[in-house]
Amino acid sequence: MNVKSTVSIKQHTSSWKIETEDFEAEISTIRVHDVEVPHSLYQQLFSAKSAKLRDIIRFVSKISLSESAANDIFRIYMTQGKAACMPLLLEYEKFAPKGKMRFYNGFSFFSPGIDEFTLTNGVIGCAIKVAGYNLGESTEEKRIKAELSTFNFPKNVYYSQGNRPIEIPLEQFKKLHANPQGQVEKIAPSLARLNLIVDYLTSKRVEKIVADILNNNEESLISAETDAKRRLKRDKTFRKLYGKSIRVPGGRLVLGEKDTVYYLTRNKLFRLNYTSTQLKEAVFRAVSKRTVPLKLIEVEKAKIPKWINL
Amino acid sequence: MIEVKASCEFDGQKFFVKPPILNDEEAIVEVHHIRLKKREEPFSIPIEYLPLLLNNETRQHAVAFCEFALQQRFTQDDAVTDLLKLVAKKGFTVAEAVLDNYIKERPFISKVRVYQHSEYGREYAGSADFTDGLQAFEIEIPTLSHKKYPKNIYVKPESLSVFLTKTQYKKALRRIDSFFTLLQKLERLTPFVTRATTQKITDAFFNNRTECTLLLSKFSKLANERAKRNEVYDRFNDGKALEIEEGYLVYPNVEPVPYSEREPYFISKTGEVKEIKNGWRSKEKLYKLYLNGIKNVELEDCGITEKTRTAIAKALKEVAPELALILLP
Repeated sequence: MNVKSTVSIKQHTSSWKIETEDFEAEISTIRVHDVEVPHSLYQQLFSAKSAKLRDIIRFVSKISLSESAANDIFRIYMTQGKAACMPLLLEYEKFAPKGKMRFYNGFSFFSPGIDEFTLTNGVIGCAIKVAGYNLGESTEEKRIKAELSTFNFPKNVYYSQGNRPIEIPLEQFKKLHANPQGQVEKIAPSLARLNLIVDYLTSKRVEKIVADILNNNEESLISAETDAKRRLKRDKTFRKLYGKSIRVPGGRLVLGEKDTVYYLTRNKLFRLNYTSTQLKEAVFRAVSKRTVPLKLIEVEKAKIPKWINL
Repeated sequence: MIEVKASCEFDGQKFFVKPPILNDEEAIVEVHHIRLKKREEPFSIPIEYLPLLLNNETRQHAVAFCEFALQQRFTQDDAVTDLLKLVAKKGFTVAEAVLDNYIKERPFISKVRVYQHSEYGREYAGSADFTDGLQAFEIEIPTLSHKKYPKNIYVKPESLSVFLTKTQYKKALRRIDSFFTLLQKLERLTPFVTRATTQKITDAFFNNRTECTLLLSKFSKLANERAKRNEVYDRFNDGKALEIEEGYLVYPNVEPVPYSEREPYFISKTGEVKEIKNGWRSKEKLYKLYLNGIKNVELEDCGITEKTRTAIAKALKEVAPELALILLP
């Protein structure tokens, strides 16, 4: 339900608030033309001298710069003024994706590596790292470096997301790059989806999924997405153990040192006899399906950690 | 300080503001920490409630309802948050009925009642809070069904880590007043005894009252002794002087005493300062030292700087002012 009203935007000592007669609310973000304005520029934004700042905001919005690149522009604007920002903005505009899928160098605005690329249209995208290149010292690495330096992509100031990049061999990257423009447009959304779940996949599986995507086959991606969704839930459940115990039938699960999980009943303490992934899985099943874990080892009285205070 | 008036549209999450100073360019504003202007407490109104505060037709009612709910001083902010969300979702009538029910279920002072344990505004199956309106204790009853009692949003419970079986729980309800007295006694013991001990005393309460009384008396003495021990330990660590038969104990762990000299010292009644080499590190050892004196403790003559000497004198100022004067450089 949309409500129309009149409010005051008011500067306080250390914050800005939206106020009416009855309530006040602290402003967390202000976006103009979908660009987040830094807190330090609020005063200028709401002053009579906001025209130049709004010009910059409109420009940044037009070329849809990534947040870190936009912040850099605002930093230059604050220290050196509008004139110093314009040459940079014009250069960024020249290479902007403008809705088309394009390759860029680097994952984000900061110090792009020679083996780091982003494929984006400004709205969605994926970070790609070419495997096998570390310091560029061995013969193989020198070969990769030489081949990588032939890709002269503009710097990525348009898209960044925090996930681990998709790591693929140079040959696969070359194949991807060689795809005709129309083909890349088709493939890129799938790669973007893969990038969102890449933290849950082994590099071999990623390589296979990329190969399938290049052959227009999404089956392995869909299956990986289902797995990732479950793993995400499982990790979330396990993380709940940090800081508090979880009730399960007949007692509680408590996290001990070095990721040991205990099952605490009325007067006994058991250790869940699983390791790493199996442990997370056992906790997940105990919490979601309300079952007591099967592999339990009773902890001897003398070995019960003092903090458990049984 | 800048103040800009602007017309706005609120979509439930964000404000779309068009201040004339931006030549009617739209700014999308996100907010947090929403509070009523008239109230001091740091209660944050859920964003779902904002449309009601912005709408001219509902704003007075919305302010009054929110103020009235906050006046009830429920122990959990989430109870009020949930009520405000309920207003946003189902309207004032439904939420007012829930609030009336909350008020009706409030415990009477000195009459022990059982409530469903709740955290973050949600009831917990398997736990009940016993309260007399002033104090509350969370007891784990694994067989207790969900939502059997009204949720406790009135008195913040202490967790005693006591489990009750179904039979024990029924017995506890029959002797609710004496059970509550037991819980009050257990609460005093809790910091000093293990969970197994509190459970043992609770079990004895249902099986053998004489044994329960004996256990309570035994562990109360122990708890008193440990409380004294902790007090001595805390005083000593806070840099206060402890008086013993042969003199005083001081631990000048303060600025500007050099770190190498931040050790415990024994000061004789004649003003001789010696470093205590052992027998003080654990609470128990320090307490024994406090009770039995320095007979079995290794002392060492030490040279201390003026800063340490001054710090020791300051610590002695209250308990032995004359000795403090002797020690001052």
